[in-house]
Amino acid sequence: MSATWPIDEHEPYTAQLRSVRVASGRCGFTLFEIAISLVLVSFGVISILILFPMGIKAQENARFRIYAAAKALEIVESYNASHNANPAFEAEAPNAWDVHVTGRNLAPDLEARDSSYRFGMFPLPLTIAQRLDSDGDEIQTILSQGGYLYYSQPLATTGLSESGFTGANTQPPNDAQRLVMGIVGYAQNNALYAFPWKAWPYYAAYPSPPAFGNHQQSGWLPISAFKLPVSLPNMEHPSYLWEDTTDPDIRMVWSNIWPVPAFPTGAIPATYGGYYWHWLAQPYVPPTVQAPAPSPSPTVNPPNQPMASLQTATNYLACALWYATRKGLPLAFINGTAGLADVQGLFAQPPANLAQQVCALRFLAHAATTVSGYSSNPNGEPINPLAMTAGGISPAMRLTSAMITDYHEMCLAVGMRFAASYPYDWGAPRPLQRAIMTDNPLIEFDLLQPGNLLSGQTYAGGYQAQAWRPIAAQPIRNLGVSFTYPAWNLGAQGGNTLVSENPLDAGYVSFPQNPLWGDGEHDFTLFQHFAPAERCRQIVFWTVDWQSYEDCETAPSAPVDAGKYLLGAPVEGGNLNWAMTNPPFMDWQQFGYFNPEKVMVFTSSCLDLPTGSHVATEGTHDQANQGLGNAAIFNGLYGADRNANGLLDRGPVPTSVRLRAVQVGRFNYYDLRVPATIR
Amino acid sequence: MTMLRAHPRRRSAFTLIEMMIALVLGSAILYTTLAGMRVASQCYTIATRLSLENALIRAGFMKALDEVDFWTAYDDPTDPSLAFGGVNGGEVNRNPGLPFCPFANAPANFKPGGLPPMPNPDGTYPPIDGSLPPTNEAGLTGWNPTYNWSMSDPAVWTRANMGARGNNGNDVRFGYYGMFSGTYGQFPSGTSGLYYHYGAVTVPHQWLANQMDGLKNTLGYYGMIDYLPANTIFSYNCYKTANGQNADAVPYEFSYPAGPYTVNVFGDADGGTQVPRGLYRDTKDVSIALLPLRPQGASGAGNQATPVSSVSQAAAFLRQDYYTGQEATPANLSYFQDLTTSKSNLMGAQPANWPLVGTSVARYITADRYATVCRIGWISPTTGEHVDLSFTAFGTSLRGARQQRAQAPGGGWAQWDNGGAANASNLDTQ
Repeated sequence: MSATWPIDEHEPYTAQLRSVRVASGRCGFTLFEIAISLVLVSFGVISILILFPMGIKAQENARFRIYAAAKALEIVESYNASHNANPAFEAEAPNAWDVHVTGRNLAPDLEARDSSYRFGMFPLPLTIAQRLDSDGDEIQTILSQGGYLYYSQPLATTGLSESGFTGANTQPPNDAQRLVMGIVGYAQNNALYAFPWKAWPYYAAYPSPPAFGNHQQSGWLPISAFKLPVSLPNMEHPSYLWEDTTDPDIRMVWSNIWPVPAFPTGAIPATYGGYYWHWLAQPYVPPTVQAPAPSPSPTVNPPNQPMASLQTATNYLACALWYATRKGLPLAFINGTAGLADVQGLFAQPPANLAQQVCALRFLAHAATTVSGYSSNPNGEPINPLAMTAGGISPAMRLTSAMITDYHEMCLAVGMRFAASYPYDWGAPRPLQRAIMTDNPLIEFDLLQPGNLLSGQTYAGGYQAQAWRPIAAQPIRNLGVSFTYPAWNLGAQGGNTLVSENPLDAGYVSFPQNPLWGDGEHDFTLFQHFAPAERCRQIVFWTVDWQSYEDCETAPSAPVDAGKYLLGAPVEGGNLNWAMTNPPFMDWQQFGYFNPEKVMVFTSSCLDLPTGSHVATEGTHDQANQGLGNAAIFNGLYGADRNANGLLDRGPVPTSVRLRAVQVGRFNYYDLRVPATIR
Repeated sequence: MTMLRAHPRRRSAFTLIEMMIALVLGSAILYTTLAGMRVASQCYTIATRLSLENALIRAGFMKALDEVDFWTAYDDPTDPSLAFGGVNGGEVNRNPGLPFCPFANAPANFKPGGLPPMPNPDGTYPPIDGSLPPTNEAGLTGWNPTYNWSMSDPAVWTRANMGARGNNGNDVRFGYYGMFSGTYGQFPSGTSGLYYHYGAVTVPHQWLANQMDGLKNTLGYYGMIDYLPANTIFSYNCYKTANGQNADAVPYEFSYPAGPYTVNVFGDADGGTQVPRGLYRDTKDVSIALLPLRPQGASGAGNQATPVSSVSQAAAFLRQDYYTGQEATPANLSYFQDLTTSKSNLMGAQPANWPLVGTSVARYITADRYATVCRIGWISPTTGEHVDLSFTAFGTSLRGARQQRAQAPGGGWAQWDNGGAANASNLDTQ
């Protein structure tokens, strides 16, 4: 605004008063503008500053990626290298649903094998897992498909028995427990861990006598079965001769007199022959010197006690010779002059009863070697003929050490070649001293015939049950009967009633008409070609602090697969309670069973206990979780000491809060379809 | 005369109110910014620390995996003086009985190439047949690194009596299996003494028994198991009587239920079992150890893991089994872990504010499993917290580790695939 008053330039005072202000535009910021700009700058600066804590997050995730890599390595190593034996479990039953050998508990899938109290991958309680969010809701997808999330075992991985570490607060905290892992992708239909109707392969030493063994339930043996007296030393249960179920003539190798007469108190008659008389003839006497005392020796044994002797040994051999001749074993083998050319000739044109000839050689070699313990005749021991109840007499011969060696060599050569050449001929047991992978037949369930299931009732409890039909890679020849249930015809379709006492009866039905089996010719999948993508699965790792939940230790264990309860196989007079308590739980011999959190589960409710309390866990008290009355402990309903510090822990986060699981790694792998280990 | 008018005055400064408001606002903004800067600084510090820790953990992880593959905690091919317990002065870890003994240093009957076998008790020697795979095994006792142990070869089938008990349980009523196979050429010798019943017979199979005996004496139990096939039955006939033999020539070592922690006794005798058995049955309750050069428990007097100061002492540790089964106590397991675990710091020297990182690897065979247990532990320099990461891994086998090493002490790593030239000799070759 220009000055409007007259300016008197001659008036100094006026000049001093003059204030010429040319307000043509602003020349500075207002405070408001400065404030706004500062706010905007602050927004920018603070936005950048917020990135700094994300660096911590990134480093933490990097840390868990290292953990994930280590745990993935461990999981795969354990899956491939840990043994898959369960020495003290039930493998046979008249029906598949009566024993837990075909379920998920023994499947050769990673999450099934590794989810064990010994191998360190424990299912996260379902109630906790269901509160976890993840990208793409992947965790909930796994859970909805029936899968579990898993967490790492709390103690250092050792591969050793957990008994020495249970509850010990001597280990540093395991950060890797904040990892959870899941398996993405579908498992395949696997080969059966064991064929429950007959847990083949049966193994026998080559050479060995006819197979026999303890059988607890004598009432379920075939009427014609030969049962050894219970009163014999070390005989807790009656034993019976099983191998004659494959061929009744084998009884003559056991005893040439049938029915087997009572054991004499005096000398064994010279007309008695067979393994039985030689084996039981002399009570066990520790040798006083390294050279065994020649028998009979009245100074060693009480008088009138039947003695193992040259007679009992040669008579045993006579019976074996009779059997070998009866089965048409080529003469060179019987004469003890056979060589590898004879073995090749035998397999070039195998007879229909090749399995029986294999067994004949096995018995022959065993009996001949037995004679070596008593004979001292440098010209060879005469083997006198012996009459057999089944007819005929045994051949006479003179046994030399060269013949003994030849029998032994041929027994092994023929037995090994038979096992390797005919894995689906179950007529002869597999050689114990050379177990190979083809001893285990490939049998799977026929999943492509859902309308043709086996059905019946469980022996324990009488519950309705169904099972897929088994199918094998090849038709099984000489299926026979199992050792445990020899009176059950394996051709029966379900049910638990005795059908036939003799597999050679007219009622016995063999493959392929056997109704037990599915359509192996069309539905067998274990040999089918596959694309890698069809069988690839992923181990996915997330990190989430699930242990911050207030119920991290009081939440019940994830549901335990019913197959993980070691159910007793049917016994005469048994019931559900018996099946639930026998065989006794033995952690060190039953790895595919029990709640994976077994060693850590609480044995009583601890909801009312204050945080930090000492709470009893099951540990290795094996029977504490067995039986109908201990279902809560078996299933981990009271929770578990999941960090193994011996205390009841509760986190600060209430159960109403959902946590975000951050993915830290994905690893591709392939499941096995057979229960194998790398070495 | 011009009248002066009062001009409206223009402000040239802030008022006090404005200043006060400005100060408050400015202070608020400054405080927020400074707080943010402070948090950022702390985050940076933490992130840097975590980054350092992660880098060290990764380095520890890689070091553990390197050890899994190269076994330097058990034998350092570049330092021939490195021996058990740090004892120098000629004690080397490549003597017979230790897992890195070159086969060229093996006992005479097990040297590569089939040298003369053990003499028969009467002093005679069976003839030597150098054909392989063995068709005539007489005299074949040495190690051949190229033979592949085919399961169809009759030589690899065990011929021990599978039903034979040990010396206090075998009355030999089913005959003498010692005449089918053994470490010797004839069974028995002479016309008197042991086993005279059938006179002397030539034993047709000596190869397998000598392989097992030779591997055991040269490498110890772990090495024997590592080299033998997975389906091996651990029993053979021999005249070796370290702990006696039974009437069927099966040694006490493989049959007598003396229990764990007994030198020269192999296998789990659970339930008094004495018959020949395979690896699972032999290790289901006991473990077979491999002793590193620096066991973590070898710290001196009062420690159960006695410091190993001699080859014979080390070999003794490798010729027994250790109880780790279902009733193993914390003391049992602690002792075993001290014996089998080698521990070392990631760095020999480091800044004081860096976390202390250590790695350890333990190797043993338990329940038919070759366990390689790795552990990375670190201690925070600020809080003192100790954290562990443990895992198992699989890598090079003992046999592979031996083939990595040149035969001569201090010869370093063996050279393989030399562009057409012959591979360098290693611990497995002659």
